[in-house]
Amino acid sequence: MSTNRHSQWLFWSSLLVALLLALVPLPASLQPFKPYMPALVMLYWVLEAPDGIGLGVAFGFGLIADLLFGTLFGEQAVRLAILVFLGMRFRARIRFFPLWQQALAVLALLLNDRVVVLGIRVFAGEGWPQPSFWLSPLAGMLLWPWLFLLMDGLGQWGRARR
Amino acid sequence: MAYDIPEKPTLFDQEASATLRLAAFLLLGIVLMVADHRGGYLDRVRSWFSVLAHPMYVVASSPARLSRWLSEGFSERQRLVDDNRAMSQSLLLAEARLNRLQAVQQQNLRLRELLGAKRSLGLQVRFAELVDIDLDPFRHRIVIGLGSRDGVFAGQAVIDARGVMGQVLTVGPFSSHAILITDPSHALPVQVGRTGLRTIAFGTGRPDALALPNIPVSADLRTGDRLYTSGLGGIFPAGLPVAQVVDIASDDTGNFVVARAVPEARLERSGEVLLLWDEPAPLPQPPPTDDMGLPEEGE
Repeated sequence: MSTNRHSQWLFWSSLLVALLLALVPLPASLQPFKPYMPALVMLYWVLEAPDGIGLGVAFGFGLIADLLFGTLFGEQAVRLAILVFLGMRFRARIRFFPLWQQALAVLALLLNDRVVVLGIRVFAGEGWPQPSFWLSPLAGMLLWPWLFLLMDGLGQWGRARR
Repeated sequence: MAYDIPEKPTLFDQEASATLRLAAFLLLGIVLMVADHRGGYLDRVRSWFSVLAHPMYVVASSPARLSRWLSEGFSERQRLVDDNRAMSQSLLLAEARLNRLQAVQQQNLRLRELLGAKRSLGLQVRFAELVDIDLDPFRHRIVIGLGSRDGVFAGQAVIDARGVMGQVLTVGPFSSHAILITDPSHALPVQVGRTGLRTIAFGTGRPDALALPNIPVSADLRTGDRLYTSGLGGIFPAGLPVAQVVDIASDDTGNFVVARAVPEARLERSGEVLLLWDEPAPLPQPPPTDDMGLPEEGE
């Protein structure tokens, strides 16, 4: 029971922190490398605790992110729903990969996400972005192992403390 | 010959239902996006939500504010003194220039009175701090720390000391979002200072370029020409500096030239901006004509 509550708490606070981290500005030269944190955290929960997270949660969370970032209402909702769908579909395989292979799978998912963004923005008439648009998934891939270990550690710490 | 049909959903069923659910959510998302993009029905929702978003903005911008505070606190005394000296020198220069301009303005006012022109040259501005958060490096939007509580309204012009930055897009009680002139969906009516040629400057999505398409070859446009707002859009008052032409090329047909201009304003995230409260003189509206079609029979 207590474990459950702890993991619930960890789930919601990790989503909140992901939103905050996505808002924090980086120096201008590093900006294109900023990983899409909400997607990474969502993917972690899809792989580790798929019961608590579904397309509905991803969609709702995306809507909140849309309001926060001033993007088209529904843009991030669609992105996260697609991401969570693919994550659930390939969960059985990705979950038992070694970390570096997992990171490659995350790179593929994030690149797909970039294609979705591109489609939405071109349709909305925002034009073609610069080449550095494609750098963010790389940063996401490099960050993945560390994020995974950190979240795992936090989860275990909660369980041990019980 | 009686087979039991398994009641338990198979793996295939589960996958099919997940795909259906995804399709439903995608459809919902597309409907929402179209409603937002085309109708702008969601402005009210955005405005309410920004009350909740404001604490998030404050927290997210705190690292940047902390680092600025630290760098101010620990910077060397010598550097501060140097900064101070440089600033007072530039202030002196600016004041001298202003004094000279004041004479010109007096003259201008007298001439305008002679002509009977009513429009004043006064600008009402207010300092506003940019909220130091990063919405998306590939979208040209900024967040301003003033909202409807301070009288900010959608469509208000945002400028800095050098030129036009953009205009307010959505307003919440405590903060508002603004679109920069470099956003691909932004267009700004401008006038070439040297020749008086009127045209439109479009955002390109790059932070250092505006595009001026469809300029007649015969128009005398040169690199180095300065562009000012023409005041025709009704949002920006006339005469604010916008950009400088850096590159001119002929377009594919050879009948027009396409120019590239660099914005004068510093369109970076941090710093302070000015919000304009000047009401641009509204263009006299022509009385609406009832019927633009062909004249009816028997008239």
